Amino acid sequence: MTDKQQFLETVRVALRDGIPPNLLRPLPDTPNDPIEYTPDLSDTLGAFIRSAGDSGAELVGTPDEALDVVVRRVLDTVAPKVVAVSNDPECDGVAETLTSAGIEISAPNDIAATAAADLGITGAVAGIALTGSVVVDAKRAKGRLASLLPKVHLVLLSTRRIVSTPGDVFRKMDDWFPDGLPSNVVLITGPSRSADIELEITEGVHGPQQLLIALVD
Amino acid sequence: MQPVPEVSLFPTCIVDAVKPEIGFATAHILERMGYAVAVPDAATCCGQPAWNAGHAEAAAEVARTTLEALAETGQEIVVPAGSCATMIRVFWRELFELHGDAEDRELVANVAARTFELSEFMDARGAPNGDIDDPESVVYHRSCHMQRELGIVEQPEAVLDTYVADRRRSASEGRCCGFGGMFSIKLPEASVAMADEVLDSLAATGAARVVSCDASCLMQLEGRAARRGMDLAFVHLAEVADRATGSPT
Amino acid sequence: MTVIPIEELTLRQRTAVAVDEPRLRISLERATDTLSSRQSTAYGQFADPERLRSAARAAKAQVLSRLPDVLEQLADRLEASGVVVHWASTDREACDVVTTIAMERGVRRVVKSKSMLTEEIGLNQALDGIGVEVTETDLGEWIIQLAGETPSHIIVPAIHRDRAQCRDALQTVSDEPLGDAPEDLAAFARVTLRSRFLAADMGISGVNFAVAESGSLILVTNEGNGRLTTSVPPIHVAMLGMERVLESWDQLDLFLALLTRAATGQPITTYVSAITGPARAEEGEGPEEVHVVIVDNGRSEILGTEFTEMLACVRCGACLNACPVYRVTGGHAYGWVYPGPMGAVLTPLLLESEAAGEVANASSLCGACWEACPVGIPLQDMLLALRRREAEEASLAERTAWRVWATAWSRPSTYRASLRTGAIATGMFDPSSLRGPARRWSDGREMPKLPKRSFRQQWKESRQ
Repeated sequence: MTDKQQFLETVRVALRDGIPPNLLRPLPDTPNDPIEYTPDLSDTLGAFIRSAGDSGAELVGTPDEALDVVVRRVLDTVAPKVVAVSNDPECDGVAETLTSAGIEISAPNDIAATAAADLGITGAVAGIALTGSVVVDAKRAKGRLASLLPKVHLVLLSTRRIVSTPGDVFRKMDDWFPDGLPSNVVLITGPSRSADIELEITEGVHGPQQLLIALVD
Repeated sequence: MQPVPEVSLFPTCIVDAVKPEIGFATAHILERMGYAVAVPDAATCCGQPAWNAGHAEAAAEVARTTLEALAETGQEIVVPAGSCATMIRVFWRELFELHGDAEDRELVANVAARTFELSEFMDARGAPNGDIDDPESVVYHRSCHMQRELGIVEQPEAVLDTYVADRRRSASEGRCCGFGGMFSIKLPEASVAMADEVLDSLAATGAARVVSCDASCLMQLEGRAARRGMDLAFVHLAEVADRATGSPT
Repeated sequence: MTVIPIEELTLRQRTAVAVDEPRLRISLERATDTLSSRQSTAYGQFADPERLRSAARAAKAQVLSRLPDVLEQLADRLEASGVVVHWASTDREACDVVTTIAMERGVRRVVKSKSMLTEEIGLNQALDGIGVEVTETDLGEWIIQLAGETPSHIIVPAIHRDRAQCRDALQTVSDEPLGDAPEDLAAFARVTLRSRFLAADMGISGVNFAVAESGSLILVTNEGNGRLTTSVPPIHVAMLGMERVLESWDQLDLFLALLTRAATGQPITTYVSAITGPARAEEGEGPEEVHVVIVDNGRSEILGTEFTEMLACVRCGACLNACPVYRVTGGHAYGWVYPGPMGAVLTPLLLESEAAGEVANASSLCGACWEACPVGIPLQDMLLALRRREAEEASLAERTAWRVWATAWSRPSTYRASLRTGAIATGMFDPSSLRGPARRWSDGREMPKLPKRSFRQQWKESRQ
């Protein structure tokens, strides 16, 4: 087996004389500035709603409604027997709604139980207007499967957490995660999809078939 | 009386050997633009066949002859072929970096700076006036080196539009015809399949003639179309311009 | 295997077989057209796409120029977050690392998310060799695994198969008869593969980008199989080509924006996962063990050469979709795991064999690949440079033929004589195949009618 020093030495030797210049097409020195996009993102919330819709997500609630009302409406449509709920702060109170509706909550950190759930509910650390993405943080959620295994994923996203571009998250990771990165951060944009057969888009091949977004305050 | 400005015409080996009519058409246009045309006798080939096949040394040997002949002219040089103009303007630099000396490279810089592809030259200096009385529809085939290396895209289309009323656009616009020099011989089946794709979409426009700025692309497309018995004519932009500006058909 | 073996058939034979399959041609045309047009639409979101391409090219060159330091930083951060880092110089070593981990932990079943690197090093065969059951979980990749093929496109592995052919592959693992609607096939895959995820002892993934500053592994997927592979099994092994590292999250923002738009025309894929170490105690879910295998396998021999920029390739497949040759031949004609223009460059660089060197000829040098590349790799220049390298090893007959041509055409008198004698073929056609260059042309095309006298001759006469 190669050890680290041997491996890196080989790479150093390869670079002994640097990278040869390209006579025809010299390497540019264009700086990596924040990316400028053409869509108008000045109305961040409006842009988010539009992009999320384009990505195939469904908006199921707005901040002017009580969370309880929104969740009950989702329960009526999805009709789940078992629901997986994350520990995100946005999910405070959701368990009570579920229990009072007589719906079972799957045991936390039990893969088989989460896999058997019909609906997963999580919060989100951020939303991105350009792409309609939600950012789910495994540490904040205390787990990563509620957003992944059930067929339907309901995200509760605070409107105050919506930013304009992916760069507003990626280029400011230290601000978003001041205590260091969790083991898993995932940007989710629309339902799981595959285009592997004749490029025809099918939803829900592995992850959730439906992504529902409820905007909360 | 103002002296008549001179330009050099580098016909390229393919026009010299296979399509003399393109050379004459080019000369006529340049004359109608007010230039006296000289054809440097000692220029042969730009070296591209060998260069694209990886035989750079052979390419340099041939290209040096042409380089020296063109360097002697001291005039603007017009080339009725996008890919040969690219060889001179873009790839000679690298070719003589690999197989040349400082003197060669100085000549290359000098020659490259005054070499123009025909449609580019016509567009920049004012194409001769012609009649738009051509009843036949045309479709323009973009050649690869010309569009991607020289960035010459609008000029030939603008020039063409001064001579033809009905120019159509094909769905495969910008796609390679499959010639690629030795490629057409090394992988003939793929090369022919590529020609077929381009031909099908050229034919789908319903145009009567295919116009290009490269005799090599025309040879590939024409050769394949003839084998397929397709009812399409293939002409160089110079020929269209020549006919519209006065030459008898 | 229906893959055309690189050592058994010549490049010409492989391409000839491919262009003769009408079903393949239709699939390829439709797919490459769709992907190319999606790419250009998606680029419309950039105020200045050329500037981004240029910035990415600059950034990657910068990373590559200090690759040892960046890799060292990455390894330090990975280890600090609890990841076990392995270094593998060759394909063999990389496979050994993984099989050793599997054997030491008694792994019986592995789920994989698509990774071109694992195709390159032959990891599935190595795991198979120690009796581990491997399931590819990307739908397209699973289809070709079941069919015993290799991917023919780096993003859409089963692009060469139509729906009926995809169904036929999946039928081999279904007790019930399957229809060929993509939706039904995807539903079948969900159920069948879900049980394999839950039963797997280990997940193996590739890595789209590794971010050195935080030791994070970025996985870009649409189906979610990448998330399942890296979240459900107790062990996650990530295979990382050593060139896939970025220095910072700022760079990731740029490369991700370009990658997804270039690959599938999406502003972003459904899932972009950033994995930083094994699951923390307070998170509850996720693998207990994460390994990263950093693989060289010939990359350090590319680094520092005129081919260095090839290490900037983000494996988006845009050059495949733009390439007029790929469009008619598909991926298998390239003979190895990497198809299209990027494959025509990588194959001769990574595989040491005569058959591999020939692959650089699978291009008309039209430059459409360069135009489509989101990081501005001058692929056509590299193909040409590879041909120059090959030419040095060319047969005596080929080199002699070019010397004869050069001698004749470097003197105006002999050049003119060659045109007169109709020996134009020496210049126009490949001297390396003098036995039948004319036939190679005329099998599919009419020969041009040669004039009796050259342009120059006629010109001189007309001016006398």
